[in-house]
Amino acid sequence: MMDLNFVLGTYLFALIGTVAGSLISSLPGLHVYNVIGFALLFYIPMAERFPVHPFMMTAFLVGMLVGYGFVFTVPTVYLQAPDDTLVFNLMPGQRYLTEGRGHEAVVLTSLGALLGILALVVLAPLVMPYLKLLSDLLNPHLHWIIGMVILYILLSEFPKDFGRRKKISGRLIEGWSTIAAGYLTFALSSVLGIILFTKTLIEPSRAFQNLMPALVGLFAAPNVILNLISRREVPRQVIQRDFDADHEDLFNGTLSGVLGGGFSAFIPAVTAGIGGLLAGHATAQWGDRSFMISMGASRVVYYVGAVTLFFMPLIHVRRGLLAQNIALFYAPETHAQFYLFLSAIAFSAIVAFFMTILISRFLARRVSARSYRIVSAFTFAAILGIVFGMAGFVGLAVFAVAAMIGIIPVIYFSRRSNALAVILVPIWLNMSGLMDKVVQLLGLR
Amino acid sequence: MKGFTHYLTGITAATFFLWAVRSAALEKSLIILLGGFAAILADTLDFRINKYLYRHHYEVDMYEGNLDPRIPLNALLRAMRAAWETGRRINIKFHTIKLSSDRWRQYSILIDEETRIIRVRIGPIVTTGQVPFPGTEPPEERAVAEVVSPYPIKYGYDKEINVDIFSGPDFDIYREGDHLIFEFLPWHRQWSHSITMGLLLAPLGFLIYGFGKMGWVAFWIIAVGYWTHILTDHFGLMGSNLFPPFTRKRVPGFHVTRSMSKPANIYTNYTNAMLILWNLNAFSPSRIFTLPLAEYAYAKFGTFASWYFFGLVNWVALFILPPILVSYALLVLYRRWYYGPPEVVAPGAERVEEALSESEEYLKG
Amino acid sequence: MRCPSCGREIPEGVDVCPHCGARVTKRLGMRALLAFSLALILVGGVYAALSLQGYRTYAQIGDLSRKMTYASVQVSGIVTGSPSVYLNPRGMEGISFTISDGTGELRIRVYGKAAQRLVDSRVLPSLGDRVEVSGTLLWSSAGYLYLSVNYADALVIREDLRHFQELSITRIASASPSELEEYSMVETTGIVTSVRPMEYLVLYTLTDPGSGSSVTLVMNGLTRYVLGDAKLGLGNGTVTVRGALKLYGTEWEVELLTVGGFDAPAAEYSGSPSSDPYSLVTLEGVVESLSGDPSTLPAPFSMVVSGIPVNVEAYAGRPLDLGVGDSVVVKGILLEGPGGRYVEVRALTMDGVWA
Repeated sequence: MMDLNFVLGTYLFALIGTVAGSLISSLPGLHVYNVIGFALLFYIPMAERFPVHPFMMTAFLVGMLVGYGFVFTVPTVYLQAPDDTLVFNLMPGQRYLTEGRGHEAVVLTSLGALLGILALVVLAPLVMPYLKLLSDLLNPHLHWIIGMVILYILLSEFPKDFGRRKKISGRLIEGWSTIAAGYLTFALSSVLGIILFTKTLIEPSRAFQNLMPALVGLFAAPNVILNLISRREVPRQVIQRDFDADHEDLFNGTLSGVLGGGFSAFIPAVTAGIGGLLAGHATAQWGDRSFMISMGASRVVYYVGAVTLFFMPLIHVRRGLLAQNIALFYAPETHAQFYLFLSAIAFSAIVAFFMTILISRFLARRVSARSYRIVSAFTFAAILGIVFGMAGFVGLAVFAVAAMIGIIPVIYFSRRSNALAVILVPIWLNMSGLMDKVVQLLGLR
Repeated sequence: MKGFTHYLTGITAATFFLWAVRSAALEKSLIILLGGFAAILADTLDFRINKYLYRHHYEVDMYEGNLDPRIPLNALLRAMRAAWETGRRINIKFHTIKLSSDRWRQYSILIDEETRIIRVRIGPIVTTGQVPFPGTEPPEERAVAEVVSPYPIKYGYDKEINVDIFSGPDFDIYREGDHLIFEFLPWHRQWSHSITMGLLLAPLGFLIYGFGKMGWVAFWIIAVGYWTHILTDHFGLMGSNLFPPFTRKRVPGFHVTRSMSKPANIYTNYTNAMLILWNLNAFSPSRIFTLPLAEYAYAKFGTFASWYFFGLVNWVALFILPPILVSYALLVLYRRWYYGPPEVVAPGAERVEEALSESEEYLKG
Repeated sequence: MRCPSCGREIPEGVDVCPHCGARVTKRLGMRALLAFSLALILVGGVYAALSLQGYRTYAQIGDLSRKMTYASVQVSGIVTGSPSVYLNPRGMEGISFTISDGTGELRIRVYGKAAQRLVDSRVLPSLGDRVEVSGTLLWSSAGYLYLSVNYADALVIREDLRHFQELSITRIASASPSELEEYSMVETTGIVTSVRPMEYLVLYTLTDPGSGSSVTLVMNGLTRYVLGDAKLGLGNGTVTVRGALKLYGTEWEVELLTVGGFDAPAAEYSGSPSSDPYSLVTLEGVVESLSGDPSTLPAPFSMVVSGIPVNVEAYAGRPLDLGVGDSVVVKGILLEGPGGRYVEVRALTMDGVWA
C-alpha cells in the first residue's frame, strides 16, 4: 500500500504546505491554527468532489505547521510581534535587532528549530515504546503537573530593584512592585482565559481558535504598541554570512529546547514558551545564544511533536489543535505511515529553514530603511485586520482587553510568563474539577 | 542549585508519600505541590523579603559622572573601622551603576586575605547579559585604587567581586578576636535556610488539610520538602545556618559541586524526574510496570515495603545511575579534549561565585 | 576590519567585537548549516526507505516474550479461539480472537476504527481460518501478551484456503475425538431444533431429520454482533451450515463461520390466523390492547391485534414505539393454547413486529 508514487505525492504536498505556511507566517499576528482551520473548512466539503488522499492533506497541513514553526521567528524579531511560544525570545531578539543583528537572531532561532526537528525525528521512534507507558502513568496526575508549572511561575519571580531606598518599607514596596505587577497580570489573564473557555464570546462558526484574539493581544500587541509610542529606531541591519554560536551553544540550546518542547507537547495546557523556559532552568542554561536556539527548538518540538504523538501507532494521544483537526478526517494506522510522516517533516524542515533565511534577508534591510514607528504602525494595522477578519468586533474587544493586560509586564519589567495563565489556568481548573466552582465564584453563570 | 531544581526536588520528596500520590491520582488532590512550594520557599523568603529587612549601614552609590575608585574604597574602610571599634556587625552595600536599560558600568572589589590588599577597579560598560564592551574602561590611573588593610582580615574569598547588573552585593563585617570577618550576602542562607524553619512552617499542613491523616502527610511533605532545599544547597560550598536560633553561623557545605553547575542541575533533575515516575507507578492504585528485583523480593518477603525498596534499588541501578555515569564520563573526556586539564580554582572564589550567580539568577529571572 | 555580526568598524586582531560582543573568530558558517540539513536529509531518507519497506519483523508465536513488548511483529496461524467482540455503551470497542501457529497461542485484538472497518467490510476471521496478522505486541494488565492490530489491512484472512468437507450430522455426532481434525472446515445440513442464547454465544441444536442424531452449532459473539438479530432460528426449515469443527469434551461441535456460516431458506410467513397451528403467519392490523412496554427490550410484552392475541418473547425484535390504535405487521408462529389461538413472536428467529 506504500508505493513510491504515494511517498513522492506526500512529499509534494508537504512541500507545498511548507511554502504556503512560510509565506503566511511572515504576517504578524496570524496563527497557523487559524489558517489550518480555514483550510479544513474548505477541504472537508471539497474532498468529495476532488478526492485527495487524507494522508496527503495531512502532509500539506503538517508542512504548513513546520513552515510556521520556522518562519514566525521573522515577525517576532523584526516586528516584535511574537505568539505565546516565542514571547520569551522577544528580549534577546530586541537586543540583537538594536545591534543590527536581527538576521543573526532569526538564523540562530531557526537553527535551533532545525536542530529540534533533527532531534525529534531521530528520537521519536526511539522513545515511542515508552510513551504509552508514560501517558498511562501520568494521565491521573496531569492536574498537579500543570499546577506545578503554575505554582512555579508564581513563586519563582524575584524582585528586580536597585535597593536604593532608605526605609525598609520603601525597599519592600520597590521590590514588590514587579511581583505585584506579575500577580496582577496572572490574575487578569486567568480571568480572561476562564471567560473565553466557558463562554463562547466569539461566534462558534468563526471560533477555530477561541483564544486567538486574546493570545495576539497578550503577546503580539504590547511591544508593537510600545514601539508605536516610543521613539525607538532600528539601525541598519547586517546580513551576516556566518554567525556567533559555537557547538556548546548549539548543544545546550538544543538539549533544553527539546526537553521543554517535548514536555509541552506531552502535557496539555503547557505551551512551548513556558516549557522551554522551565527546561532552561532545569538544565542551568545561560546566555542569549543558547537561549534563542532553545526557544526555536522548543517551539518546533512542541508544535510538530504534538502531531508526531498523534502519528505514533498505539499511543492514542491527541495534543494540539492540528492533531484534533486531522483526527476529524484521518486516523494514522501503520508504522510505515509514521516513518513516512517523519521523513516528510525532515524534508519540510530543510525547506522551511532556508525559506526563513530568504524571508529574513528580504525583510532585514527593509525594516531599517523606514522609521520603525511606521513599521510598527503597519504591523499593528495587520494585527488588527487579522483579528477582525478572524473574529469580528467581539474579537477586537477581546484583543483590546488582552492587550491592556499584556502591557502590564512590559511596563513593570515583570515576567511575561504570567500572561500564559490565559491558557494554563482554565485547563488546569478543568482538570482539577474546580472549573464549576470558580465559574460560580466569578458569577459567570 | 537553581530555583527550579530545588522546586522539583521538593516535588520529588512529596511523591515519596504513598497517600499523597494516591490522593492525587484518585481525588485530584494537589498535596504534592506543597513539597515544591516548601522547597522553593527558602530562597523566596530570602530574595523577596529577607533581603529588604536587612539594614545597610554603609551604601556605595556612584554614577557615571563621579566614577572614582576611591569612593567605594573609602566607604569600605570606614565600615571596617566601625566594625573594629564598635564590635557590631556592620553591613556595606555596593550599588550598581545603571546607564541605560541595557548598559551598566562594572566595577570590582578585590579583598586579599594574605596580603591584606583591598583594591577597587572601575571596569568596562557591560550589557545586562554581562557582556563587556572592551575599551570602555577608564584609563588605568583613574580606574584603580588600593590600600593595605589596617586590620587582619578573614575573608576566604580571594577573588574579585564584580558589581554590575541590577541589585549589587553587600557584606557583613564584624570583629572576631583580632580579625575582621567579611561575610558575603549575609541575609542569604540564614534563618530561612534552616532545619528549624522547616519545622516551623510544617504545621501549615494542618491548616490546609485539618488535623487528620492528610494533615500529617501535608506536615511531613512541607517539612521534608523544605529540608531538601537545605540539603541540596549543602552539597555546594556556601553552606547554610542549619539550626537558628541555636546556631548563628553558616555551616560550610559539603563541597561536592557548585550550585550553578550545569551537570549538577541536569543530573539532579533527571534523578528527580525518574524518582517521580517510579513513585507514581509504585504508589498508584493500579501499577503499570514492575521490575525483576521487586518481584523477587515480593515473592521472598511478601510485603509491599520489600517490593518497593528492592524495586527502587533496581530502578536506580538500571535507569538512573548508568545514564548519569556514562554521560558524565563522556563529559569529562570532552572537557579534557577541548579545554585541556582542569584549572585549579581557589575554593573561596568558588564560594563567592556561587552566591553571586545564585543572586543573579533570581534578579535576572 | 568590520565586525561580521553588527557590521561596525573594529580594531584588527580582536576576538570579540567591542560594540556588540559577538565573537569575531570561530564562527558558525554556512557550511555548518548545510551539514545539519544534510543530516536531516539522511535521516529522512532512512525513514523513507523504512516506510517503503513496510517495517516489520516476522515471528513465530513461541519466540515472543514480554521483553518484546511494543515490538512491531507479523505472525501467521490458524484461528483457534472464537472471535468475540468488546462492547461498551457507545458501541463496539474491538474484536478479539486467538491464533496458533504450532509453537504457541497468541491473542489478537483489533480496536476502534480498524475493527469497525473489518465489520463494515464483512471480512472477519472465523474459527479455523488461516490468517496473517501484523501489529504491535503488548502486555495486558491481566498478565498475557497480545498483538494489537492497528489497521484493518494488517489482518489478512485467507478465505481462499477454506476447504469445506461435506459431512452428515450423523457422521459428526458419531465421530470419536481422534477421527476428525479439529479446526477443519465442514459443511452439513439439518433442521434447527433448539436455540439457547448464552451471554456471548448462541448455541443451536442441528438435527438430521432422517436419523434423528444431532450436533451442537456455535454462533460466536462476533457473528451475533455483526448480524444484529440472529437470523438463524427455529422455523428456518432445512439449513446448510458451514463452520469449523471444535471439540467440546469428547463431543464434536461446529462453530459457524463468522460471515456466511449458514444458508437458511427465507422463512415464508405465508399463513393466516386460520391456517394450521405451527404455521408461520403474517398478521396485519391495529393494536387493540397492550400489556407490557414494547419500548423497553428485552422485556416481553403482549397485545391483541385484530382480535388475535400476540405474545412477544423477550429479546424478540427491537424496541418499538407502539401504542393502542397503531397499525402493525406481526410475523410469528401460530400456536393453540387453552384460550384459543395466538401468535407467538419468538426470539432468535426471523419473527418480528413492525409498526
